[in-house]
Amino acid sequence: MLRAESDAIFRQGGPRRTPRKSFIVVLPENHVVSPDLVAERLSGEGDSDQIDVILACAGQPSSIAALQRRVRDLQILLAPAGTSGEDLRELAMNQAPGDIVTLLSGTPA
Amino acid sequence: MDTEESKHPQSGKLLQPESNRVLLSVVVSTRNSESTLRQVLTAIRGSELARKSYELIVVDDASADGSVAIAARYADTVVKLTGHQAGPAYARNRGAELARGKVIAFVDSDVVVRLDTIARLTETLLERPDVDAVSASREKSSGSPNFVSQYWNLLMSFGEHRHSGRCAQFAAGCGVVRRTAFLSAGMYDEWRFDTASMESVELGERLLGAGHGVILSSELKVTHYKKWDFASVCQEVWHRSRVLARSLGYLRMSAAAPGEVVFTLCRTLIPAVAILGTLMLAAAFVPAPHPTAKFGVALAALLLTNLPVHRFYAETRGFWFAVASAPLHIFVQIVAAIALCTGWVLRDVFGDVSPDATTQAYAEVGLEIWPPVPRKL
Repeated sequence: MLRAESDAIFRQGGPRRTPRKSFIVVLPENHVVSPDLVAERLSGEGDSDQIDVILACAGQPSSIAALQRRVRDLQILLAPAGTSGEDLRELAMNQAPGDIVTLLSGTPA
Repeated sequence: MDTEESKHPQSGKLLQPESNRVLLSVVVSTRNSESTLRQVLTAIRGSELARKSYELIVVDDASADGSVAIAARYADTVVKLTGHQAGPAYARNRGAELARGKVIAFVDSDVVVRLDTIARLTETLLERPDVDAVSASREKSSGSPNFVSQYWNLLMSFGEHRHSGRCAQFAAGCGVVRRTAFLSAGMYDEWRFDTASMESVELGERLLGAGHGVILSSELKVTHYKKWDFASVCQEVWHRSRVLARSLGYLRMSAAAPGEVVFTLCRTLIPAVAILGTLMLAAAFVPAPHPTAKFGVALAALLLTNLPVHRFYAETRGFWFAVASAPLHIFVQIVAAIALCTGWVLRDVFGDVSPDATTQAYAEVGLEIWPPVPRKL
């Protein structure tokens, strides 16, 4: 009886069974994103197709075509040139729909 | 008292990035902590920890303020819990589930660590296989300068100071635990503790009961920035005392965590009541004294039995601070005594605390949902 009720909850578009995941890749100004680094981290998160990926850039990014090829539905957040890494993180967090949001630098340390 | 940490002055030496493997996961649970969170996370980021050796996970317990935005500026992972407040036990468990490190550090969102606190706590675990959980004690001065905050912070500090070392006092403010020990002990009890209370003391007691080593370091310190006022202190004492009597068991916890503030409060109240009872019996054989004399005797008994606490206040903050805190201390003691009695009555009438009926039904059916239904131990 309870099982039937719980199934009904999900059918009605209520709460999700699993958390929604978002990935924020922070790319400071005049830096080039590393697609391998992002792909490596994404692969460790399970089904990467279920993850929203946001690339947060300060200024106009260059060389992101490779990342766009590797990450389907990549969202790009463009912030004004000179925006700090911390501000980029905060701006991207406001856009991230996930329950679990992972933030990482898009460039190798 | 445990002094092992003092033997290792080169803090952070074991936390150098030998590889990209995360050794430590720092979990901060927060709820509406906008005023302190930035300072807390800045202190963690400024710790003597190699950046690649740890990850910072912030779990936001349905905050209505800007806590999530602040967390985003510092954290590697932010978990956003929605709906109603689930409590720090629940939030820490969600953070621990995501943790990749073999050691997990829990830091409260109003606790500022020193540069070497987390590194030295972790080193203690790495160097001592007999210890599975170690926590830092609090500084004698509170980060909040008002009188009640200073009083409360010193009262907590008094218990920790007298009973540090090997006991079940896994301090909520800042503690590190081996991931394997934490998981095998069943994690925090999110079923019974839906608000900040004694969940860490209970976890420490469970760890100790399962044969794990738990120590409270008297040397490694953190500063608590929570601002207390008269009402919030009374509420905290009421809640702690009631939970202790109703859910945890007074005698069991008294043996396992003697430094808990409720025991500090009632340990001295019991002899005072006994002295007063003896005097009342003796009074039957002498002429009735003036009411002022009766009040004076009662006050003297309370002050006398609380002498160690008052002396601690005088030594730390001076004579006049001890004098000023005495009435507040006596009032708080009375609150604790009434709450303990209430807890015992509630336990006998209603039994142990449990979540609402809907949560219990969801748990019973094993409903998979996000955020997950609280788990029963």
